[in-house]
Amino acid sequence: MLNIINVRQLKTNKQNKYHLKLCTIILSFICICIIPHNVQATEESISSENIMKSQQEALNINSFIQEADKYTQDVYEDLDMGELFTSAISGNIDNETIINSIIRAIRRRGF
Amino acid sequence: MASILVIIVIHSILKSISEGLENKGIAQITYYVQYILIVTLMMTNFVQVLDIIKESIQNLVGFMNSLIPILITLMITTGSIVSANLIQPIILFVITFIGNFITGIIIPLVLISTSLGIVSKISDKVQIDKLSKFFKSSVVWVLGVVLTLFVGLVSIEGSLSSSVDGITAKTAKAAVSSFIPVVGKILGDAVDTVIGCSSILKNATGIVGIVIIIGIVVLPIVKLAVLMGIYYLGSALCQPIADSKIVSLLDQMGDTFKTFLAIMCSVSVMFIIGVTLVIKISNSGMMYR
Repeated sequence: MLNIINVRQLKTNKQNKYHLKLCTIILSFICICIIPHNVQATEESISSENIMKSQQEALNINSFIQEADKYTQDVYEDLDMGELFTSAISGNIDNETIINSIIRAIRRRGF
Repeated sequence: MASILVIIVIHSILKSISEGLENKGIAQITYYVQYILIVTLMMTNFVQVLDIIKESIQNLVGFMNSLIPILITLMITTGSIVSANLIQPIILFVITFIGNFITGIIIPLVLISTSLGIVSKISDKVQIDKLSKFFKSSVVWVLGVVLTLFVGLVSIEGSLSSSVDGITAKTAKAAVSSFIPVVGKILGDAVDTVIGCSSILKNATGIVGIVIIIGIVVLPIVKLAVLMGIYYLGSALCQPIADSKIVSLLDQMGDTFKTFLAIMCSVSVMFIIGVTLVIKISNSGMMYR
């Protein structure tokens, strides 16, 4: 009789432990879901264009291009240095435009 | 040039008339009047050209002084720290030195040489032609030496330091990739991407710089080339009718414009080579990665 009672008590203890574990897991899951979390990252991936833009701003290259434009205003009238810089970054420099503007400047001077 | 030719034609007519009269005094006076008129006309051209050359050299130096710091900063962002530290003082010093040297020494030397040439052709008694030639040839020699020194120094120092930079950057990247756990590889790749972007920016800035250098010097170079051609052509056209001294005077002015053309060409080539070398040095450092 005593043996039977002991076996039943052991079974209820095991069941209690199992229930406790289950409750702990569910509670912790709920806690994780409820606690608010902030993510600082705004972009999923960093492109090379963004890096170059940020570097251009950091190194103040745009102001250098504006400054450089002043030196050649009378020669490259039709040529925008900003566009030339962008085309140089992509590797598509239009040589014809440069040569044509030089020739036009030479003609304008009457040589 | 047309007015100079007209004066020469009028003088040759007057000369033949005065020779017919057998009066040497009148011939001498007409020669001096003609000479003064021609020299005055030449000097107006000469002063204009001098102003243009000085202005374009000042523009070149000013532009280079704003271009080189940006290129050097971009070099540092690509990891070429040793090259940047070595090259920056040399390039900035040489650019400022060349600007001052040309405007302060070379151009006055050419002026002295031209004035000596003009004076030596006034009469047969005063002969200082050789001194004028000496000044002119020394200008050309000095320019050649400065050009060679500049290119040699920059290229040698650059080629030495670029390998040091390349190996240093490679070691740093390997250390970041292997010693930092979990994100080491990602960090190393990110560093590579940033360096690559800086390199692209540096090359683009250099190309824009070269285009602007060409833009600054192209008009003075064309003007000098045209003037040189006109004076040589004028001397060739005048040879049958004019006095031999007037012909050699026109030739002398052609030589002077040729020297100015050499100065402008060598300075612009020097600056273009300087910018190209700065781009090339850090690019060769990138090859080690």
